[in-house]
Amino acid sequence: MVSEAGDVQSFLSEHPPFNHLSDNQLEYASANIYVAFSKSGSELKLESTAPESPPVGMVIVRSGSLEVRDDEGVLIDRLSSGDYLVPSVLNSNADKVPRVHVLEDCLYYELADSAFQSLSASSKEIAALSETDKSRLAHSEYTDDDWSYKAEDAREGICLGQCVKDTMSKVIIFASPETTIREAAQLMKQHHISSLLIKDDQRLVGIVTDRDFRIRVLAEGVADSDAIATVMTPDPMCIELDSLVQEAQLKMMAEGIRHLPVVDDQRPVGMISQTDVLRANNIEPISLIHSIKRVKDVTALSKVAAEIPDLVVKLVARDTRAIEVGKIITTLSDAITKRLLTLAAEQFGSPPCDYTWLAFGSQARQELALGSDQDNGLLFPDGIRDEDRVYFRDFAIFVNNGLALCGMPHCPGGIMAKTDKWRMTLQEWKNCFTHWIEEPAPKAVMHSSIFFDMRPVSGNTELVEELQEYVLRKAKTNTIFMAMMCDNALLHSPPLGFFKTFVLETDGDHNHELGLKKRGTIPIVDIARNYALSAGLSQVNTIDRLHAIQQVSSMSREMAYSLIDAHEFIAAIRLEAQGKQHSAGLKASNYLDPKELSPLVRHQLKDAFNVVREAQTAMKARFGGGVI
Amino acid sequence: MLYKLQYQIQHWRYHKKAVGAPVQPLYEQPLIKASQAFASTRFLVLDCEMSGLDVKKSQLLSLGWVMIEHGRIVNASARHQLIHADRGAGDSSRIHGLLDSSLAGATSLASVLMLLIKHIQGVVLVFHHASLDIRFLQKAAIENFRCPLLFSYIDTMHIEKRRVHLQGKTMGLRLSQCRERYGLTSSPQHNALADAQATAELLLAQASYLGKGRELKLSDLSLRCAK
Repeated sequence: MVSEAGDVQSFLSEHPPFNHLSDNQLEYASANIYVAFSKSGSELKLESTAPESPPVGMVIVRSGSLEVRDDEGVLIDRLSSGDYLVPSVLNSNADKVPRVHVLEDCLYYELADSAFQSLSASSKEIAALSETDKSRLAHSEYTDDDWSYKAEDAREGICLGQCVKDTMSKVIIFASPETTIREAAQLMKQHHISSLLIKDDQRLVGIVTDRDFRIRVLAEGVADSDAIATVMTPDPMCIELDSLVQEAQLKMMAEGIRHLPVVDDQRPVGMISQTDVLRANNIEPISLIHSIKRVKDVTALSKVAAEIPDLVVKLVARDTRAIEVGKIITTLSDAITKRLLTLAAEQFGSPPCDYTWLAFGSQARQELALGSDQDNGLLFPDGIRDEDRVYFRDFAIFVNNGLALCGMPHCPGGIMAKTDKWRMTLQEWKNCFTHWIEEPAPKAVMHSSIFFDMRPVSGNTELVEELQEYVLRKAKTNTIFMAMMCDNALLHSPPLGFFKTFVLETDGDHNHELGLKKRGTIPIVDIARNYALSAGLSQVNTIDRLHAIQQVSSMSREMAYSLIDAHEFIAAIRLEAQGKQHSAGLKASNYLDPKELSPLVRHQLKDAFNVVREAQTAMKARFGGGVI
Repeated sequence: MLYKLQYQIQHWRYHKKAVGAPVQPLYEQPLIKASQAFASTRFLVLDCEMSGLDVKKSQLLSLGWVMIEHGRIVNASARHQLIHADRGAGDSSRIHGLLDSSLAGATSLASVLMLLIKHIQGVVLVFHHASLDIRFLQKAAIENFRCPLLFSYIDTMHIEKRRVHLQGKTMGLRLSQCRERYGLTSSPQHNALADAQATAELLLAQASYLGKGRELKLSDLSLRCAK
């Protein structure tokens, strides 16, 4: 017999995710491939038709094309040569099993489920497939595997000093198993602790918490003279002293617990809580904020601000979720803004009246990325004197220029406090919004959408609350305005072609690149804003908005969570790309050459864009649109 | 009916000669019924490479095959058997890319045939342009075992010819031409195994089109018996 890589094997070796496999794994995969053909117009049965034939773990298109639609006929995906689908993922939602139609005569490979499973165990690229597609986007929780990779990566990474040892609180109060329930409760009261470790002969044997007293003692009517051992959680989950904080974090998240005993070779030595973890994760931002608060002039401030990109690179490398990174950058930008406001007051004298510094757009949504433009304005109480307005002009110019020096470029559209028309009293702002909402012109809508995300950075917050309430009340009831906002949101479509190929920018500096912000993030932000406005929700952050929207049920839970995950995924890719650009000494941009992505990430990114496309279609159906 | 008659004649003529020969199991298996469903039939798709087209002067150089079960090509069943040749590959090597050097160390014709016999019991064979391949196979079987092989087969070229004819058209019937009509691209590689795989894919495509919602039977594919 002649040994040669067959046609199937060489095809697989050229396509993701199989191109990541070793020769042995590839050989194994191709030995478990079954080739099938379906003519155009027929339906592909994913559950195996013959009981004696093995279940299918994965379908890979060799030639022709397939179309996946949900039970209502809405297009979920189109597949062509080299694309694949994972039936278990597709069928994960039992009452809504999507159908797979054959668009063009299709020759496809079925990978036996048993082989798919064992490849999943040995290849993380294959394992990731069970989470890509819809399910990955439908459930934001990570699986244990996901976390363990991260912990591994982190171990060799920059995360030194992130040990449980340095973060936990030491525990010196213990009880023994014979201690009575009453004594244990007294011990906890005495030392102001909400959980108590039980040790026997230096070994950790159990834990009780406040909750246990309620549920296992009071509710059950257990006598307080019984031994604590009868109501404790025996052999609790714990973590080793020299583990990484992230391991503790994922253990707690996986188990849904808030405290984790720390043991040193079975000897209990401390306790780590979710709060400890959060603190450990944010050491650098906090120290940066301290430096920001200490600087005496704009030059010094800009030096501190120059450290932010390095911090972002570190955060990304540490697998901090993109939404957290966005919040951290925003917190720092807020701190810089506040510092500039104080410095301005020092230079021009105290402000003559109350004011609110408003952030618009991404800063308002707490979703800043590196190099985001500044969008801001000033809000005064009604009845401000003309001479006071003059004061705020110089004041605003100082702050805007300061922000620009600190890495937040001037807004090209002039939406900044230093522009005269964006310094207004409450009544003037109300009039302005009324005009946008009641007489919406397409162009006005486009320019004004940014104002509908607003948040006070400093000053009087009551004024903003009043303004926000007013705007929401107005917007909610105006269907023409909502339809126009919807049309505006549809201007930016996800960059997917007919067959899930990326559509790249064709003009300007970013020719042949992918506009991650314009085509990924902005559409999601727009969708969230529109639903939030129409439901009168006051949240400003996109994720918060989506959570709230889903609760008032104006959007399906599944869609909301898919969007949240898509948003996170696109933001993460954008941040990572920005981090790389920064490390390479380039200016941070929102564009990316898809060739720089691994084929697997490319595939997942397409999934994310696909979710955006679906959500846009749903939005269009909801708000009508088509007014223009 | 004709198929059954062909089979009975062939069986009657050779079954005594087959006793004790390696081909004997083929003569002992029950006839595969023409009413058997396509989906529950096991197929072995076979392609032979020869040193020329003339049975008298040329010889088999290699066999390639792959199995179809439950309407699926079983990739793990693919085999490519090179045959040790007495004479060099001659002119045909230019087409098939089989050089004399790679033929050296190949298996003898008899053992390749015996392996094939093991794989085709209870199985329907599939060829594209069956008559030429079968002539070479039977000649080899008679030379080595004094008795021809007994098997049922279908011919994708014949299936395609009938399909094209029904549509009132005349079109090319070469393997790559047939495949093109089902959107199947052809690899530039030509050897017995690649062609057997290409033929297997073609059969699945043809079956998919002939099925039209009802259960496809072997009789729909003009089942025949090898002579």
